[in-house]
Amino acid sequence: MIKVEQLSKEFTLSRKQMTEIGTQASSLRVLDNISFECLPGRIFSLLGPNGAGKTTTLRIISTILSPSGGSVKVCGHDTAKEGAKVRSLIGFLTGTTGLYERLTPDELIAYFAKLNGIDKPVYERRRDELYTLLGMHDFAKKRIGKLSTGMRQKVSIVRTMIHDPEVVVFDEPTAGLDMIAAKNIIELIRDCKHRNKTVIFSSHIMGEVDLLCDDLAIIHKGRILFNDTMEHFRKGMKSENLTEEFIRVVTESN
Amino acid sequence: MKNIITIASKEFLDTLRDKRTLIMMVIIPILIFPLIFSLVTKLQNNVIKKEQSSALVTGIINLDQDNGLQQFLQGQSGLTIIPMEDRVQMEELIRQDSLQIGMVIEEGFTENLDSLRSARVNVYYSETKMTIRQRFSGILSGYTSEVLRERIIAQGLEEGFIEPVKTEYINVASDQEVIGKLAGGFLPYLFVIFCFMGAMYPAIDLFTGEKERKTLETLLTTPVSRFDILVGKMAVVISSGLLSAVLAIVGLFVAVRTTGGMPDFFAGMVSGMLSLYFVLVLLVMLLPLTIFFAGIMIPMTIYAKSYKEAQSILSPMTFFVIFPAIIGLMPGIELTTVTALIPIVNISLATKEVLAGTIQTPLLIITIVSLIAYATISVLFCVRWFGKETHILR
Repeated sequence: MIKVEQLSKEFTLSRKQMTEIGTQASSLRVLDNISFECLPGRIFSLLGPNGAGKTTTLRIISTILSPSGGSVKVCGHDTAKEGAKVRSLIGFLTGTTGLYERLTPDELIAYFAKLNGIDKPVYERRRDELYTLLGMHDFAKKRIGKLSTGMRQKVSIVRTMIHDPEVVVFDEPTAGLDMIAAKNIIELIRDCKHRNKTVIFSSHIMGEVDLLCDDLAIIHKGRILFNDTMEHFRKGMKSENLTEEFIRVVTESN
Repeated sequence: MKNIITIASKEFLDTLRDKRTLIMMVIIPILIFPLIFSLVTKLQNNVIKKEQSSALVTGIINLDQDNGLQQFLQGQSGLTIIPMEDRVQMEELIRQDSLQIGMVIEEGFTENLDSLRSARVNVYYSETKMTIRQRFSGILSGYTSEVLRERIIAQGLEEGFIEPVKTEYINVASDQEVIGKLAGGFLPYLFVIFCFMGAMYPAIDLFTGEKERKTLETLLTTPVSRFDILVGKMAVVISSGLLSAVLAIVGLFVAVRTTGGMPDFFAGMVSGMLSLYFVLVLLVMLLPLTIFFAGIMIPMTIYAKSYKEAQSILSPMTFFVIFPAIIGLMPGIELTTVTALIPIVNISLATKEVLAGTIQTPLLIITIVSLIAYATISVLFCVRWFGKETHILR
């Protein structure tokens, strides 16, 4: 479970950044008191245009960034105070996630399993299960740099799931992927739901959200514009389709 | 500690599989000296051999001025004499390498010699030929000595007449001291440069490279603390710098041992380094210096967004490393309480003194303590820098 309460985030700007953005202010508020809750066994989607604050929110949940105000609790643990504990409960995956190209999938998975503190017999069993599920045995000993995009995405999935995390965070997980690679990710997200995990994923593609999510928050310019179930979003629609409704909500807020 | 070892092991494996880093860290340091030494020595020996074995073709104007000189020169082996008349033509032939030496015997040469005055010859040569002047000067000296000996005998004098004070200079410094003071600065210069270069590429790859390849974010979401991540990576950067310096030394030893025709003083200096004491003292100084380098480099590589940007930030830093290292090569600059506090300069001067066997223990202690202090400050700065999210995710 993830509980986000009155979360805000400000970045201090350098002179160069102030010039680039064209502002006199020395700081930029990218999240403005946002609150939402993600429940186990449900898929929560954070939907918003580019620069809305989706990645910043997910980075705070994953403890990569610290909040400027408010709090985030993952399975009851505060991200600001119990960072290591929170990270042990999280699996993090993005569409642009890089992998160590000079390692083999076996070496990479072993590395992340060790960093997550998993015993060798446990990680080897999980790794073999995931390899079988994703059909990875054939390229497990090849250098990652030699693998195709689809194969790499499978390696990323195993890396994310090797410690069997309670919470899985997906930041635009299908961005830049072809249809086959994207399909693997969508199946993974569904599988996480069936295994009663808490799933949060960010996207700016309404079709993807419609396909997967149970709960939805629309975020724009650091503020939550809508936060309810997908069912309620559909019921309250004033436009012809979901994409137009999303655009309407965002445009009206400007 | 377990996490640090896990990170360091993975990074070391990753680093050793990176061709670019491997070339800078291992291949160049170990091969550069054997290659340079063997090439230079071979080339130099070939040139010297060629010049010495070839006949010295000598053009002489006014050859008939002195029969004694003419006879003396004709009696020398390896000397081909060509009588000439035009000095300008002779100079041109020397430039074209058709002649190696040209000599003009002054008018009245014999009269001057007979009157016990100095007789003059002008010798023309090209400085571009390494041994020509030396060879011809040796031949002429032989003639001068012969004339001088004849004059002494003719005057009924003793040899002491022309050398009233016979001076012998006796060197009280040991060979080790002479070598250490004169050439000892060269070695720390090499260690420092290879330490820096060896650490630079892994630092860029492990920090900027991780950002550029978008793998850092994933690493930061593991339960491992940022401090452990930093220390694990830093350990590899430091080891790489040290490894690079050690391999350069190994390469130097191999080069000296296997290359013939090495100058004696240089071979002696390198052999002097074989002592356990020297190696230990050197490592005790090199370790904090490499940590200091890593502590300066890593924040810059964390700040840089791309490999290219990191290289453009770090490359100018090489000058700040080379400059103080060169100071150690300069004669007259000694290890004092003040110079012992200047990083890089201190290790350069201290190594020189250790090699010469003239190091003062208090100054060595000041050097080591100051290096440890600089290393500590740079590591603290590095930890602080790595903790800032704006730097990591820039």
